Amino acid sequence: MTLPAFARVDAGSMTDAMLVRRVLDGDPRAFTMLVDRHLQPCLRFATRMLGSRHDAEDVTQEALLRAYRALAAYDPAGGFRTWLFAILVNRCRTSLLQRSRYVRRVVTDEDMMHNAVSGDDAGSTELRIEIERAVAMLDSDQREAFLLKHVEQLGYEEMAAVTGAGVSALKMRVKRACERLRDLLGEVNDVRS
Amino acid sequence: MSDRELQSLDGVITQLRAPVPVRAEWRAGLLRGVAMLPPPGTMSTGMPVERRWRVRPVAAVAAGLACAVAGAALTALLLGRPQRAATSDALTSLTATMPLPGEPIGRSTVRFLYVAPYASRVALVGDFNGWNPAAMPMRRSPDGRAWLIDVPLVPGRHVYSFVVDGDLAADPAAPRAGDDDFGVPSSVVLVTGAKT
Repeated sequence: MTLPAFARVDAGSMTDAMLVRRVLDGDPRAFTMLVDRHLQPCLRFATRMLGSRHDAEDVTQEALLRAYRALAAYDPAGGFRTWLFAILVNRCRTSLLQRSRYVRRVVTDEDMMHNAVSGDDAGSTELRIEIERAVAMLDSDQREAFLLKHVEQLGYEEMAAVTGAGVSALKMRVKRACERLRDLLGEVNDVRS
Repeated sequence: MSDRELQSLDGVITQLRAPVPVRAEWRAGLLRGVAMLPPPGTMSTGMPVERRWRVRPVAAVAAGLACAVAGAALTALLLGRPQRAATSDALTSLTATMPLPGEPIGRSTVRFLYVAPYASRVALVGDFNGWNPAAMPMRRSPDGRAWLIDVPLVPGRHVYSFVVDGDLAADPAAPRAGDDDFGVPSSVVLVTGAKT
């Protein structure tokens, strides 16, 4: 019996691959642990990528449910985070495509509040809105590469596995994203001063 | 990119790395969704799965074409009928008129139902509430799979749509509005009056 053993093991010390094995052995609590371990970075990436809290929750939920269904196909030789982010990045791309097909989209006040307020003081909110606006103006592939590299802190090899793009292409995207961000935020600062 | 160039974006990156709060209600909904799924790997043998067609692809394509032809014929038949026959009772399986005891004469209660087990919010919008997404939030059904709301409507033709987590969606179980404005996916319910 593997289930009683799980209770005795310090789950925090278990690797992702071990938790995946637990889930496949029939212990659903292990997936809750995986969710809690990766929920925050997934939700942060999706929020920064899509610019909408509600869309981010949708794609994150969808990605985690897909990951659960496909867990048997996960190869422990690769990182679980890489595997999960590959699913998430695909869901974000699909969401962006679907969004561009909608002619009209209902945006409620609650949407705006979710994006504008995340627990910090009002002084930094204005700056963050400007940053989010600048990030939203990046091309989606540049935004994706920039967020994976500098916000989620993935290595280029890992990013290549997640996005399917080559390392040199990703480096170029990140470089261009940084240049564009500097230009966009520089313009804001010029207007302010 | 040099370190000095990157330093100028340090503040931006710090802001973007700030954690995004996880709503407890949403997390609980997510875990509920996971619990509803069959355990992963129950079908897996650990060996590559050999692809076996239950139906030969040619037969599936032929069946699809036959369904399309039959559907087109049925649509033509329905569109050729008098408008009176196209009531919500006849054409929809989910959204339907539902007379209630003591209902005012001249009004019928319509139960709108949308199946979306993983949605976190669904609302009803239509010409009867000024397309206001805050006016008619729908409630989750007891089994958690569908969203519903009962709305008293005057007899006539009403155009409506569902707002599923911010996106508009037509009712898959009702006729589409032929006069969609701005390309918004909309559906039609025809209310024939309260039944006695």
